[in-house]
Amino acid sequence: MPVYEGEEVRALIAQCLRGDQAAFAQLYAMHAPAIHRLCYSLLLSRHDAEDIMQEVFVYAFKNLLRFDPARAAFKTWLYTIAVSRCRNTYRRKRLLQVDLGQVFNLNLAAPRSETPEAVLAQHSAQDMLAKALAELSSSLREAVVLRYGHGLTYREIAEIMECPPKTAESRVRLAHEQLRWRLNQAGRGILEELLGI
Amino acid sequence: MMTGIMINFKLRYCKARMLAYIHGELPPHSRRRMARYLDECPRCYAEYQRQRALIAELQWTLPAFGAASGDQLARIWSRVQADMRRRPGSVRPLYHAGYGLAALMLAVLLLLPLAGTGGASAAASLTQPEPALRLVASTTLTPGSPVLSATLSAPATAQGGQTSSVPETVPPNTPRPFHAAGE
Repeated sequence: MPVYEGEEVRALIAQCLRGDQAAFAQLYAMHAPAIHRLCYSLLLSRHDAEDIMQEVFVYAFKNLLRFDPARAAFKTWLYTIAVSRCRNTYRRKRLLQVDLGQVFNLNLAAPRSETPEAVLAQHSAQDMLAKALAELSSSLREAVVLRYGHGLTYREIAEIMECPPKTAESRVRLAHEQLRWRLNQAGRGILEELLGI
Repeated sequence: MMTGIMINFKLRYCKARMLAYIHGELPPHSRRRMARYLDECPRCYAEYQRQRALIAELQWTLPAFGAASGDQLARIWSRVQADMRRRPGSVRPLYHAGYGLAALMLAVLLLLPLAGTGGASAAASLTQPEPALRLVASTTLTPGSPVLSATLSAPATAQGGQTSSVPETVPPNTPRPFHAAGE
């Protein structure tokens, strides 16, 4: 948990409530990268992720008085709004339109090994993983993205997904099983390629 | 045979608890049991390695998944600011005027049936004719008074000499009842 989740965020929120524009900008800068990653991971569309992110911050800034620091961290509150908005978007679209072009051209971190073969293998593995993620149901993808993409605890995931912590845990486990199954279905020994196992 | 069953049992046990074991969320006795199975059972250990590989990959890939560039974040921030400016009053109180108006309308809706009942009874009392007989009786107790003679004489002429309790203090321009007009 980052240190700024405590007093600094509270102080910034107090400044925002007094109408300080710089405080809004600072809150945005703190949380925007994570919210964008979350929206993109759930919607798999850069355009939709940007729209939802804009909605999330506008809603949060306009409803700052509703935020209760005793109930949840500001980050958890933002995540809750984001997940809720993403769910509305899935419902609107019914069938998730997977933008495979974007999935295949991810801005991934630099590979751990720089040899061309290793880079190729890793990119292939990551592409497969991205496709497997896209095939998960929305609730399982939410759970696994929050757990591994954002390092949240089961309790935090449960708060965001509005379910008991045990359910959050079982969703992560189920997502894990399905990812494994899908990657094995790919039949390329992908798990063995990953991390050189 | 027995060994095969035991291996399957251990494998099922390990699979069910593998994530919790890797995340360090198992109670001590389950953790010890898992560790023993992983030592004894090669299939359990292979499963452990696969799960760890997948978790490591997810932890490595997912945080970078959909990372936005600085330009992108700046563009979204300018859109957020524009949206906030377009709809001023950015920080609105929890209970604003809308709630008060809604409560008022609800109260009016609830009170409307009661007000309607009261109005109906008032209207009924207004339209019901005044029982003038009581008034006449109270004022015609003195025999030979002009009021009494006027009261008794008028019905007698109208209804063939029978005495009637119909009041005669009706204003002159009030229309007569239909049957009376026909006769």
